Amino acid sequence: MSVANDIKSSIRAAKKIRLPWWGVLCLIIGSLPIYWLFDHFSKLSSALPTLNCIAVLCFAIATKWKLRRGAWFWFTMAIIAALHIPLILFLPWTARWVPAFAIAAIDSVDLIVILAILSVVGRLSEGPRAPAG
Amino acid sequence: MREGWPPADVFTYDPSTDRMNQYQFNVNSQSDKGAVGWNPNGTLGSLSITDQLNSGDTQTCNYNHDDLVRIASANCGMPWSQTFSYSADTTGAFGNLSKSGTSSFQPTYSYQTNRMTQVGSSTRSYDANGNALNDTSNTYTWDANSRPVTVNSVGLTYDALGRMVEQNRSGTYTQIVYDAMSTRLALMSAQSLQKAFVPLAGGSMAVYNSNGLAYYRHSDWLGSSRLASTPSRGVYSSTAYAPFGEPYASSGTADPSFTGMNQDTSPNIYDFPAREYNSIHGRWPSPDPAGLAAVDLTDPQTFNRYAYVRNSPLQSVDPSGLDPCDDDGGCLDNSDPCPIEICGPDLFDPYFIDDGSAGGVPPAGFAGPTGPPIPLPGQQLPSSTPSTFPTGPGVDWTSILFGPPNQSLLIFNGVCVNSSGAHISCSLPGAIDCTTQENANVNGCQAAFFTIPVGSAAVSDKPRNTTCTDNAVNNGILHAGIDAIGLIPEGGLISRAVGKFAGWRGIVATQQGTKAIRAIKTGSGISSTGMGGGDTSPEGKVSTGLGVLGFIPGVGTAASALSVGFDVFRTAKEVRNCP
Repeated sequence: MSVANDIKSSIRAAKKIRLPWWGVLCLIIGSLPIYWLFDHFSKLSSALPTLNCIAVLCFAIATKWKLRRGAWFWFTMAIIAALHIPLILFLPWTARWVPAFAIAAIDSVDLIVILAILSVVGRLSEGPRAPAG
Repeated sequence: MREGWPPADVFTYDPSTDRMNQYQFNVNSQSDKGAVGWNPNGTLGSLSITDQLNSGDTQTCNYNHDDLVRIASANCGMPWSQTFSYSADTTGAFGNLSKSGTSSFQPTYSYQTNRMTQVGSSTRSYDANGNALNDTSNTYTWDANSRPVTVNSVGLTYDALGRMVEQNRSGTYTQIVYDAMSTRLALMSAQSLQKAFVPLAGGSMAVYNSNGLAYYRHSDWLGSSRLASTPSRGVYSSTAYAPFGEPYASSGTADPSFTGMNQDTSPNIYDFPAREYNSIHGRWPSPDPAGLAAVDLTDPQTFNRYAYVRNSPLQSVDPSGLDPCDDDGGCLDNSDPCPIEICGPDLFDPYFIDDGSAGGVPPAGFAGPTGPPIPLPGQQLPSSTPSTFPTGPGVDWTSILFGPPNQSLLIFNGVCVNSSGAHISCSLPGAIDCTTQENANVNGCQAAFFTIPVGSAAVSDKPRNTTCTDNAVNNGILHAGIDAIGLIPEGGLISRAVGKFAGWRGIVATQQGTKAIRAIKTGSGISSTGMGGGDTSPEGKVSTGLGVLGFIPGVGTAASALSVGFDVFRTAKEVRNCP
């Protein structure tokens, strides 16, 4: 299976994941104290990118949950997470309103890139495998 | 400008300088009129008074000033003439005042301390803080904060804010009530009202006693009350003032109020908020507590901490007793704004409705007389005035003093309180009855006065800026609403369907993603042409945005949830930060 097909199947799998209503509620309410914490340390502009990064990483892990037994998977995820830190720290994020559409677009691209990296690393680590799902 | 309470006061101003050219107080078809003439440098040149209500007050005064803008002479003919000199320190540089003429006061000063050392054969003494212990006719004792503890045996008590709150006259006590702006509002004997002072436009004042409205004070360009008239259109008091505040040519009941300050403690001593002022001496018995901080090296007059408004009393006032203000509305030490709006054109702002804009435009949410124009001062309230006036946060009114008979209301800084101090809705259940004595007005009924709930005057309620709050909440709702669309997992699918139905060629993510994968697969590379371009129209962008959101629905939902939370937090923060 080609890398392209692997990415395509990963995206297809990602599109099947839904957040339950209580998950949405937890995200809204649970994020408030985190925003307060960032604001307390005068870093409110970094709050939304940070939480979205965490959300995307969690989403990627959930999408590729079947790879959880591979050490390479967690190692790769750790590196990817570490690469996000300078993105949060050094890009000029804003505390002003940015439509969720735009944020979702960035998150989607980020997720696709993560899935692509995982596919490539997975092929290098484990060799070609049968298509998922 | 025409004021609207009965009787009518008319002020005219120089359009270039905003200085008052004339005041005219009309009472029962008669008037007290003063033509005010200004010199080019802003000093007062002349005052021509034509008083039909008090013939002794009719006079023409000419004033001269020296090169330091200090009053040098006042010549009003028979009623009053004075010359002023400042030579007690041999150079006169620091403004130690001596008067001669109708009322003379010629002490000996110490040019080192600016204190009086001798008046006639009497030696004057001061305490270690420079506060006078005695002068010609008054004795004082002072506390460590240079506040008078006794003035002529009247014991004085102060609150934590340094305001005189009680006077003790041999066991008879008088309490002083202040409004939220620390302006003296009333004198009480326990629960009994002695006098209450309700400021009106133009620096004028309605004075109440225990029986209700007693009289109106009508004020000149300095805020000094030259005429007091009763609600029945009679003269209560009429007086003229010498430059430093000595009343003369008086008739009726003595009611001196120089620059709006009363003599509530002792005769000839005006109670300014921070200091007592002796008008006969033309100076303060206690020095400016600011000390050297009051000194401006470019103005030697500021070295004299006892001098009143730098000896320029015809064009300057000192609303606090700490900081003179001149006629252009600024404080002489350039620390605009003045502590209170007593100087300059602001003094004459309409009081009827003051929402910060000119012309009496009603504030947002105003449910009063409908349809422009809202009655301005001097205009009659329409008969269809069954009005409810907005109260509570955000109503930016200086004061509105009208209401129906038999209803006790005081609207102060946009807050309506009843006699118990509780916030209430201010309402006018019907047209004002213009036939009652209180409401009678030669030019129509505009302002109705009522019993003042003095006890409620201490209620302090900082008006909240509803514009800021409203904007923050409205923006928050809008942003959260838009972001919440993303909570619909299939929002992208919906948008694509709508896009296709509308014929938009939005770069919906599935199309784009498919093309991207195909491009990678075929090795043709990703380019704008290879990706098929896309619709860059607004509709296309909307379709694209919604499509991207739907590309990976879970991610879109999570991002939207986090954004909604962020919107809520940011809105709450903005509301909290609103003044």
